[in-house]
Amino acid sequence: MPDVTERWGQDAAGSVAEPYDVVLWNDPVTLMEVVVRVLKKVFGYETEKAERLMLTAHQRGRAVVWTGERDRAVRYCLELGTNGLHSTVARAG
Amino acid sequence: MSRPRRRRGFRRLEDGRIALDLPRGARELMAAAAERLRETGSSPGSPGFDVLFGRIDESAAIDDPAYVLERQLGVDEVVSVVSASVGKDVIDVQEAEAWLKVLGMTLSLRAAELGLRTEADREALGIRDEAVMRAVHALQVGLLDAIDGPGDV
Repeated sequence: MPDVTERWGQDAAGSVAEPYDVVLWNDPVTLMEVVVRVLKKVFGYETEKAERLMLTAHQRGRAVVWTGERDRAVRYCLELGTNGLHSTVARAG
Repeated sequence: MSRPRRRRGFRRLEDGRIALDLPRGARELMAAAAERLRETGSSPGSPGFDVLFGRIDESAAIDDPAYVLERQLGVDEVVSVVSASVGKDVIDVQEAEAWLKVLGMTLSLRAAELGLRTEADREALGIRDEAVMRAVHALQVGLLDAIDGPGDV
């Protein structure tokens, strides 16, 4: 079960915005401590949570590291990419 | 994801900046990594380009061009910072963060080029590629220690 870290909100018109996941993909070359540090820096997570998400990606191949409004999800994805972490966004569920 | 090997080459000073004590090969590696990213960013359609600027939204037919542009600008920015600071004896934390980003993207790019998808794939790496990976890891660990560690106080 993915770790849903944030519930989605409403858009300006008051309708419920469709939630998106930021999916972090495992890779065999990035140091674990680098992944944890990036997750802490980008999302503001505590070390324990960042480590848990890193291990989920490492062991299962992917981890949902954030869920919420699409534009923010894309921006997080961009930031992870600039740090060398492969991630994508996808409709939550 | 891999576990680190410890090595130093970076030392945080009292003013927060980071002193570099790197062999020439390490600086050459950094410069080459930045240049490689710059080249890749200007080569749409190449396999490397797809690694760095691949699909963001799995559920959309194509990515918003604004996001793609933002991504390219982000890469260009850190590459420029690294290129301008690779010859310095002391760098600030922003420059050090750019170094980390370039190293991270370089690993990602190289892993894709070598077809590395699992930890087991790494065992088949040649000596030279493994040495480059270890060198990049050593630089990352040294930078992390210098930025986040207790420093030289």
